[in-house]
Amino acid sequence: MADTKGGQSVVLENLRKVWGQTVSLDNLSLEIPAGSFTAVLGPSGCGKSTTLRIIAGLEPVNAGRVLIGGRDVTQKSPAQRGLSMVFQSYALFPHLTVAENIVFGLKVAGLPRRERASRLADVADLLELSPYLHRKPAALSGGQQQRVALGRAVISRRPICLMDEPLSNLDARLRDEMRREIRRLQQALGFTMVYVTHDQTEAITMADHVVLMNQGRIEQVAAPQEIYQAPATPFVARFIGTPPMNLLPAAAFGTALGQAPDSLRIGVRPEVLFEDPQGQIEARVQAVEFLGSDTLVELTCAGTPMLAKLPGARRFAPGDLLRLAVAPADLHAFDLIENRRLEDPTLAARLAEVMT
Amino acid sequence: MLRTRGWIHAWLLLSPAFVFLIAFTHYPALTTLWNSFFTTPRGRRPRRWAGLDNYDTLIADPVFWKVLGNNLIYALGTIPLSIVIALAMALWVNRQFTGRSFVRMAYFTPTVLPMIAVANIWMFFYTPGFGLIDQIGSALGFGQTNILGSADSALYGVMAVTIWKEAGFFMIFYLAALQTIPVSLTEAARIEGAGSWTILRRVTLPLLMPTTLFVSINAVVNSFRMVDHIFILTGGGPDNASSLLLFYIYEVAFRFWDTAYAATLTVVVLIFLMGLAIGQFFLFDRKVHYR
Repeated sequence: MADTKGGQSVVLENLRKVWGQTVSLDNLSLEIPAGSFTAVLGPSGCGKSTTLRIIAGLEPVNAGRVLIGGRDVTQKSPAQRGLSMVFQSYALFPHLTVAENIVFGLKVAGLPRRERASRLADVADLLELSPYLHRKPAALSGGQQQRVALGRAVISRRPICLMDEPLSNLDARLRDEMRREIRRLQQALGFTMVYVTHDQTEAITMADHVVLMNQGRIEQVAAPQEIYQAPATPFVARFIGTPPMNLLPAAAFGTALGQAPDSLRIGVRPEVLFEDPQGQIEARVQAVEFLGSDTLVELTCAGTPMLAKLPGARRFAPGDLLRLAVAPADLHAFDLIENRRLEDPTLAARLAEVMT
Repeated sequence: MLRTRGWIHAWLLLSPAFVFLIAFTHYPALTTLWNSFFTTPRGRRPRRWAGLDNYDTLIADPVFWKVLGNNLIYALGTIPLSIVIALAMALWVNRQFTGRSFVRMAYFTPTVLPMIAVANIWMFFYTPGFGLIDQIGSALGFGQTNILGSADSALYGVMAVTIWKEAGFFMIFYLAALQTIPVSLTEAARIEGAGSWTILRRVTLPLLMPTTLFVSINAVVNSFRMVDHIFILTGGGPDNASSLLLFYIYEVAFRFWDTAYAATLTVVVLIFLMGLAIGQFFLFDRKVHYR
């Protein structure tokens, strides 16, 4: 068990995990730099929790390797990997007090009583748990239980901390608070964090890197800004950002794009669309949702449904015909068949020409 | 109006069970206590008040002390062993392996069988000369045994049957309790570096304590209550070597027809059992974590 202040890197090489007939992870490779906060994001069933459990050593792999701090730990037990983990259910021992829960690992490792007590005092201070140390977990609120689970994870000072949807059982306000607290903790202690979530807000606000997964594969690994500004695949484009990005066929721009292939999709975020009498996009209003500062308008454009977030002051009625425009820089181009972003300068130039 | 009706309804619903409980449990218990202060009526001689005479007889009765001693050995021998075996079997069949349901069923089968049938099966194991034990023994070169027929071993022969019968029953409770322990607790303990022994000792066993309390109270009650197999196996012999309290009460009441003395024995056993159950409750209560 390494007792380092900094983190260690985690490297996954060509992981494959199969449950009977279903392939959960298919040839998955990932590098998580030491000391970074990496969020693994994806819809349910995409394999993100399986990935985390494989890193933890709770789940064996069918093929591939797991390296932690450069060591091959594929065959090692969870205890030998030098990591800690926070479970979605917190997994606190119900028969032990808060203090006993937090020092469980230290006691197992045979740390002397005095050392245990001083570390416990530090952690209890850090997480404001001192008044509750002699209570049982059942006598704590959800947020306090969450902090006990965090305490148990950080007290052993292991270089890697794994978290599996740790905030999903908390109410919205507490979740915001814990999000900041976890981030603060990670920065203060400097360990490597691998954080699994299905909530893009959590991933984007907390992480240095976001790993977006879908159906057992990695769609994109990037910093939060980059994943929002330059989504690598149509899936990423639709997954990140609320409401999701519109993926429009070339026909939505009239004949301006000429003979574009069927698999071409132009991505436009609802919030970058604006009304313009000269706009190239012609769309009919289907439904209107007033949000206060904005109005979310459901439209159809060349037979494709699309969303636009327009100023809240303007009133719309179903059936209205709108002309919309987008700044050329806000357009994204994707190929559905190749499942990737198109960075084609000539296409970009033509789009810019069309939009102005 | 409505409240009176609700009250009547409640009593109407409760009364069938209540009538049976009073008629067959509470009233007999009280008459037993009452009878223990009288002599046994015989022929034309009616019973008369005897005060504590029956209790004096009991204290002076060597068979009572012998049987009480037997029952203590029986309880101390069967209870811990059947609980430990039940726990071990439950831990084993709680894992994933092929044929798991078959093994679970096999462990539970003794519980389904009536005690009389169980005793008959074991009769076949124990029979001197051509029983299963002697057949295997002679194949391995051991001499003939007479486990049930010798005063030294008869009680242990009876105890083996009890353990065999009880362990499967208790296993079901442990298995049910094990399945309520979330897997994530074990996983959290593994991540914290605990080995399987530590997990068993520090996580699983404490969480099973409510079940252990329940099972052990049941085991204590059963060890004073279950005597069916003695009728088949040994009839309490030889020389009361395998007789237990309840079996002795049966003999006194219906074979020797000394009902007053049987009532006295029953009262003593009841007090004994109550004391044990309450004691267990207080002993365990502080150690049990209820969820």
